[in-house]
Amino acid sequence: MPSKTETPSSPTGASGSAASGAQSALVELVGAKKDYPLGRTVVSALRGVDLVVRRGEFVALAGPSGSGKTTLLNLVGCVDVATAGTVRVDGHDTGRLSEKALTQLRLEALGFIFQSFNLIAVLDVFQNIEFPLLLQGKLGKGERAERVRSIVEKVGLTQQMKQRPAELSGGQRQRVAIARALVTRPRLVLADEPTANLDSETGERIIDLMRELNHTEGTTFLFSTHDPKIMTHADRVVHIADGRVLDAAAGHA
Amino acid sequence: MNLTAAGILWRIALRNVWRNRMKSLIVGFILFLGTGIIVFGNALVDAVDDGMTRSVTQSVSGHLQVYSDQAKDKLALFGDQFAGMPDIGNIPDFHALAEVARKVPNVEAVVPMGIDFALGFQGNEIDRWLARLRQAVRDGDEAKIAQRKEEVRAVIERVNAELASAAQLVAGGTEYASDMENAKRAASPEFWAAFDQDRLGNLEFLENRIAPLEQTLGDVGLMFLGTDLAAFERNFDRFELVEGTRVPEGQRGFLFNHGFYEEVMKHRVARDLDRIKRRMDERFTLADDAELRSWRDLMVGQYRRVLFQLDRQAAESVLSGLRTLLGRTDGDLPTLLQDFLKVDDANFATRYAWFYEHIAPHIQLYAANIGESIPLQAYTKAGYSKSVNVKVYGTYKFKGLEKSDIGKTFNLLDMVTFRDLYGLMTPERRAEVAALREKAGLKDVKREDAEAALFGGGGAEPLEKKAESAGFDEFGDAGVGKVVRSDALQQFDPAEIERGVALNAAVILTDSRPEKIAETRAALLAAFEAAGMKMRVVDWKEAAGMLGDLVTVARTVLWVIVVIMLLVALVIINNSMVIATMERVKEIGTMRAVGAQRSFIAALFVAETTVLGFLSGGVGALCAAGGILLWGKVGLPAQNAFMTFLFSGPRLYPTVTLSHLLAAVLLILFFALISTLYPAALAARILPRVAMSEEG
Ligand SMILES: Nc1ncnc2c1ncn2[C@@H]1O[C@H](COP(=O)(O)OP(=O)(O)OP(=O)(O)O)[C@@H](O)[C@H]1O
Ligand SMILES: [Mg+2]
Repeated sequence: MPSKTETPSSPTGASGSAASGAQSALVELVGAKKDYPLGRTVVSALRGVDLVVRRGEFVALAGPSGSGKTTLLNLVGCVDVATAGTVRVDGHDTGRLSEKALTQLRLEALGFIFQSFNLIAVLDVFQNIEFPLLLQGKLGKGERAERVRSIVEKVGLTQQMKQRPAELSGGQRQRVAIARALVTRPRLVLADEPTANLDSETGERIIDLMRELNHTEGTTFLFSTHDPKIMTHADRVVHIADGRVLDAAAGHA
Repeated sequence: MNLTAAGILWRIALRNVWRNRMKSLIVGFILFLGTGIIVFGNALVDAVDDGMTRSVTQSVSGHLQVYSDQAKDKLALFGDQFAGMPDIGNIPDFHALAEVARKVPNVEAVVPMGIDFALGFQGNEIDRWLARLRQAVRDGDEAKIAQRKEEVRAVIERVNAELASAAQLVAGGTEYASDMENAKRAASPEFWAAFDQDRLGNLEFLENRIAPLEQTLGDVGLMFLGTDLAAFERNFDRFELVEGTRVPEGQRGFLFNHGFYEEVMKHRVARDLDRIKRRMDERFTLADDAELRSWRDLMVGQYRRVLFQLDRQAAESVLSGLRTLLGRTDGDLPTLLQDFLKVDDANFATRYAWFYEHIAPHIQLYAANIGESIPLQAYTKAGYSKSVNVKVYGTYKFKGLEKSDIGKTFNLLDMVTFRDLYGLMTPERRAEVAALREKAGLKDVKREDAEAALFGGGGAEPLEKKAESAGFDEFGDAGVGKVVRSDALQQFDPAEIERGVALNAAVILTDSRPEKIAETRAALLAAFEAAGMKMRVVDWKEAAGMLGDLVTVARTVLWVIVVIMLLVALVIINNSMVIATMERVKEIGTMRAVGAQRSFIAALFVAETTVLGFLSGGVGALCAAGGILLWGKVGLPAQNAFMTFLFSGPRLYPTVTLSHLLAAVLLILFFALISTLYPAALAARILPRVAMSEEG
């Protein structure tokens, strides 16, 4: 896993085009490119993306299939690094971080919500939510339980605490995933089509829940979606097509 | 990794083992089997090692064996499969050696030994009949003479017939010509008509010309162990007298190995009957068992061995007995004997008993009887053959090894006679003997006379005389009081056993734990070195020749099997883990995305294997232990003679120790972890971004 990129060294702090919102920028992409080798050719999934997400924003990422939404979220989510350009997350240039440091950054600053929920099958609701806290190892048992219980309450799963993922409905599972993403109180939660595997009603309720947590907890959300109805809940919609951000004003609110 | 992460890791590992039950079952079963085989195999090999150690140390070898450093070959107590008896040199002065050895701590006893091979004459039937005729002639009992003459004629006719068929086989063979002539003459009516005119002359002709023609009874090879018989019995716990008496101290004497006596020295037909009975006692039946039937048919073919040993009276009584038994009014003795020996399942028990009750008393049941002397012939070191007549006092066995070939290997002979047969006298010893003879005023005893007296008919004399009988006292401690009278020839000063040559010496230790044996061995070597003796000191495994390597070989075979098995298992475990990894890519990717480090993923796999290894290894070890405990109660029966030896008895009782179990579980665990290395590394390299993808 390459942990360093050939990104030219840039002075610390924000610079260039996104300077205006630099102070409150949680995520900042400058000319971010991502190429995937495919056989002898190369697929350019991102062809130079500039994007800023500020603290507290609730941002939707829209675009046709294959446009590069997931790729963009991967870069922001530190599960992948850009081929060129800069990706800055919570003040860290991800291209300069080691694999271990990227993992640590994910653990400390980010939360993930996946399209297919991705819960750990052998753990019950409580344990799934507790999992990132255990990896962090910062809280004592009591504090952990308190933290889990309060978030479980917020996502409305108090009754299901002892159940395994297989015993839950899709909407319930996604609530567990949301709780897991939020339990560490991350600065940014990334969600790749969080409602795609849910019926529209449940999907909307999930988005409502995310929105609510965005307000109450002040957590920043960046999520992708195909669904125009879902997009209406967002503060801002970033349109992406063919590896490029369409909206000229993407960098601004 | 922090502690709380470790906690959840074990929890996930445990639950994953349960979740992937099929995989866990397959891998677990392999680990279970592996542990079981290791525990079982080791317990078995250990038990055999222990059994063999006891078999050999308590019967022949003692804990250590000492022999000359000048030996050409290595000591091999049971012979070398390929090279026969090894040349191990000798210990010229056993007493000196024993004195040194006995001062070494932990040495309880030192016993002189020598192993050699001799031919024992089984005797000759014509000779036996002729001896009876001679006896009758000597007694002048005319009626007896007439009867014996008839019997001898009958035997000679049989020899004649045999000779004729042999001559046909080697058509034109000239060496048979004179034999045929003699046989024809001995069978002719003219010879017998004229027999009484020169009874002794004709007897001589028969004894010298005819008796040697008879070939039905061959010579028998005997392995014997010359030793200090009293010390031997004291120090080898397995020794047990079966029949007869001990050889009195200070007497020459021979003890047959009981198994050897029963199986080699016994009358052929009796042996066959015994053999059939033993197998039938093991619930084989003549109706179902082809081998048993072939033994029976072989036995029927041997009926002449009974027939020709019956004198006329015996023949008549056996014939009438057989008629009653078989319910027949016609048929001659040969026919009825054959019919009698054609046993079946229904009548075997009756006929077996009938044989011993009505036939055995009339035949020579053993080629050598207890209480009589047998001639032993051996080739001395110098290469000439030497014969000694020695009295058979009885039979002995090694307890628990009765059925084992190796437990039947040795007949026992007193050390003094052994030296005579082995023909080894050091120059010093020879000078000493000469000097003593002179001192005792025996200059007039010519060597030839002494030899004749020594190896002639002395053995037939009554031997129960005590050591204080005439001819012994006057030599006292001189140690060579054996040259005067035939009765005295069978006696010697017990001290003489020590003062002379031995080939090797067994050392028995007080504390026989392996580390103590090694320690004493080193101490013995040092003591011999200090005394200027060049000796080799070996433990029983080295002393037993090829046999001693057996346990090592068995252990090696076991481990080779285990290693092969583990390698196969490694491939299976590795494969199934790799497949499991592939099935869990998404979950692992998710853990990585959520913030688990690579090390966490690798550790998770290791933890899963550890859980599985402990569980299945533990269960495997417990099951094996339970099996061994049960087995140890019942015992594993030895299937054949060799197994009896290995097991040190008719059954093997394996035991299991906690360290056995722990070692097996740890080994399996270690091996399981090795099998996990690759899948774990693979899993740790799963990219966190796969959590995002929708495929898989
Ligand atoms: N690991 C990869 N290797 C090669 N090509 C890839 C890889 N991941 C994505 N791509 C390609 O990059 C482009 C962008 O893919 P991406 O998954 O980011 O699109 P998307 O907008 O998320 O699409 P969808 O709405 O179908 O999820 C596509 O053409 C895709 O085929
Ligand atoms: Mg996508």
